[in-house]
Amino acid sequence: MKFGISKKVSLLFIILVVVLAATLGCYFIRYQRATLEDEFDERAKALLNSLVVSVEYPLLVEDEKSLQILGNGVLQQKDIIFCEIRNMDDDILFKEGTRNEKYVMQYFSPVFTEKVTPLVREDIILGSEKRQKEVTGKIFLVFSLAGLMEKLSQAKKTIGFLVIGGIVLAFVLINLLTRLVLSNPINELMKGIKKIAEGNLHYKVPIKTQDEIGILATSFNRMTGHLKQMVDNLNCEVAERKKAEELLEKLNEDLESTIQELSRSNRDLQEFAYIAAHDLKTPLRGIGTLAEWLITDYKDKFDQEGKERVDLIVSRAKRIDSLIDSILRYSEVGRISQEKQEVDLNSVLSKVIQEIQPPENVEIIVENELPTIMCSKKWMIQVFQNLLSNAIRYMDKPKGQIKVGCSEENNFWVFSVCDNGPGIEQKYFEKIFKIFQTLSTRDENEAVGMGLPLTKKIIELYDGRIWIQSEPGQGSTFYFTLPKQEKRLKNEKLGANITC
Amino acid sequence: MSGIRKILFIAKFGFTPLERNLFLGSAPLKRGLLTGFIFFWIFSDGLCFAVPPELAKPIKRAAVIFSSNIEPYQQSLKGFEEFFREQKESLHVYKYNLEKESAGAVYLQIEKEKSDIVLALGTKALRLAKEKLKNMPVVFSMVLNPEAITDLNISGVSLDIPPEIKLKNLKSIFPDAKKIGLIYSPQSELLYNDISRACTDLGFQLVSKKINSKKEFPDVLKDISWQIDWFMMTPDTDIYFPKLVEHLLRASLENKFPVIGLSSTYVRAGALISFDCDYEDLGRQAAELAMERLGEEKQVNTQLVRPRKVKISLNLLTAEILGIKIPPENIEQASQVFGK
Repeated sequence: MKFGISKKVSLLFIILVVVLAATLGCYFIRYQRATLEDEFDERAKALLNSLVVSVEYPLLVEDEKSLQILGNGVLQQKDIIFCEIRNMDDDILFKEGTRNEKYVMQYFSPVFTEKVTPLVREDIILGSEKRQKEVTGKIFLVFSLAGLMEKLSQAKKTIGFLVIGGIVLAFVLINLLTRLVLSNPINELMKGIKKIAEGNLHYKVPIKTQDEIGILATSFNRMTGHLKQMVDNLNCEVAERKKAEELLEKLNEDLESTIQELSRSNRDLQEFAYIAAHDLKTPLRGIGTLAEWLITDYKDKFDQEGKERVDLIVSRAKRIDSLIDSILRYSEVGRISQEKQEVDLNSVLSKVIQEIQPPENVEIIVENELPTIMCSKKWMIQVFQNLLSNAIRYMDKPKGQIKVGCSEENNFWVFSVCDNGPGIEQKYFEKIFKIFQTLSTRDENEAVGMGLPLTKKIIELYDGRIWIQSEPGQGSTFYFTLPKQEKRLKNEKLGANITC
Repeated sequence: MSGIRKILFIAKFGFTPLERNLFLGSAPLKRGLLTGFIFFWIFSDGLCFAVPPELAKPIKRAAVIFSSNIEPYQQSLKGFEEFFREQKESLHVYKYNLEKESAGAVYLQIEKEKSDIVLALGTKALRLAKEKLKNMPVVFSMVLNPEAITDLNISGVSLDIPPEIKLKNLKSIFPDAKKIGLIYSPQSELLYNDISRACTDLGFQLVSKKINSKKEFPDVLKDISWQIDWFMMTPDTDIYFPKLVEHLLRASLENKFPVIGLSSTYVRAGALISFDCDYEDLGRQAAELAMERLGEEKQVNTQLVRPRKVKISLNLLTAEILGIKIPPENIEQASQVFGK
């Protein structure tokens, strides 16, 4: 730091001292000059007055000898270089000296004397209240200013030396003072700041003064203490967080491992389910075929009970086949990637209605036009087929009515399938979406409990949601949502994983 | 209200204005007491305030003309008035000051008031009286060398103390005094003659010198100062002026000769002794002359009188410096003593 605060303060004080000293110096010189001039003037006037008084009588009696003595006596006085005395007729009675000097001051005074009125002679005895004066002569005195100038010059020199001495002394004192009071404590403070900035939080600024800098240093030391404490706390926190991060990382690793394990298990399970179902399907079909053969080939040999038992085998085989198909489809969802395409749901719905051929007492009403979305047509057919089939299957009214509708809600299409069937109690709202869960015996409607779980899985595959609103006896409404925009499908990732 | 006027009032109204109110508003007993009181008051008043004798004489009207407003003139007037009072004469004084009023205005007023007598105090007043008031009796006082200003209708007292009186007094106090120094000019030549005569009569030796200009005074004084015991000042305005008096008094102390001053003012300034007039007595003298004038039916000749009383002033400090001893009885008798 080339020009620090102490130097600035010193400079400011020095400028002030210089200005003050210069002002005072000028003032003292002027004062000295005025004083000397006044003294000179007073002395000159005193001398002049003294001479006026002294020459009054010699002038009246025109005593030239006395005037000579008085005039020469005055010329002996310091600075008087010329004296001239004239009488009332302006005749010069005394004149001595020279007035040719460069710096001179001239003084003049008339000489008065008391006048006596000749006509009132008793005044000489009685006195008079009226005292008149008359001019009886004139005095000219010329004073040399050389002595005054010399004195003034001497005074100027003295004051100049004093001013310069004062400035130098003030400079030294101010320098010492600022160094002692300002510079040293600030340097100590700066040194401390530098050390602390370098990381040495144990350093304490060694300042013992009680002034503002002392308070600042104390505050600084206190701040450093707080900072150190904060850094320690922070270090502890960092260590703890590091430890937590390590733990979290480990947990993540474990979780990933678990997820991988689960995925693998899931894949294995799906593979197993698919393979098991696929493998079961062939012998089951063989059982069914054999049972049909038995009916065909031995229909005459079986009695009624035998026929019923063989029919039961055939129907059970068909149900198991149907169950296996459902499991296969369920396992397909998410396992095998389906190609996405623009699917007009209106055509999908028409096709589904056509396929399921609803009975005459059930009317399917499409309330409004359905949108076209990016999805797998196969899964959309499955969704509508399951919902409509369930509605028809459980319809208990002589005139059944199923309404299909769609509305927009934020970024989703909200579809609804509403029927006027028997309705479902609220306690079963969750249960119906779980696999192999049916609300009636399987013999009553041949349901396998896979329709709604499959529907749910498909909807969730497309980031949608499915739920039910129903009251017993009032019918049921199934709602499901599908995103309006195209979204990355979950099964893409899953499919990719499988592909790998 | 005088007793006579009260009697006249009661003769007309039966009671005084004050008692009238009291009387009318009181009961019979009270009224009787008041009547008694009124009679007692009338008679007692008549006894206490008898008619003064001067009321029987006509009041004199005097016009007093002051030359200036100095104290000695007032003292002289005081003596003038006192004398009239002592003579049981009623005097009414009209004062005029020539420092404040013009001579013409004063003259017109005096003419208008028809004064019985005019008192002129000082030369200036006397000149006015001589020039303007020729038909009126005039007395003067406090005038130095009045001889040239008098007239038939004018009488008065001079301010000049006769030299013989001064010298007699001097001799009585300082019997060792022999040589008297004197410097005079043509203006004071008559006085010089008187002094010279008095010195001869009283055994003094006069060392004198005549000068024609005040410029000669220092040298002449230097010449005579070593020959004299005393120096006598004269009322000569051609010689004496303040600065010269100062020089004279300084020279007297340096050359050890005492100065006889013209008045106590000079003694206070450094002269050893002075013989002053008694200004009140001058007024009395003037009053005496005025009484004479007023009592006469026809004009008389001019009467000029000189002061009859002399007051002595002494300066003890000057005496001490000069080494002169003054007898204590003279100090006690002196009217003014300076430098105690």
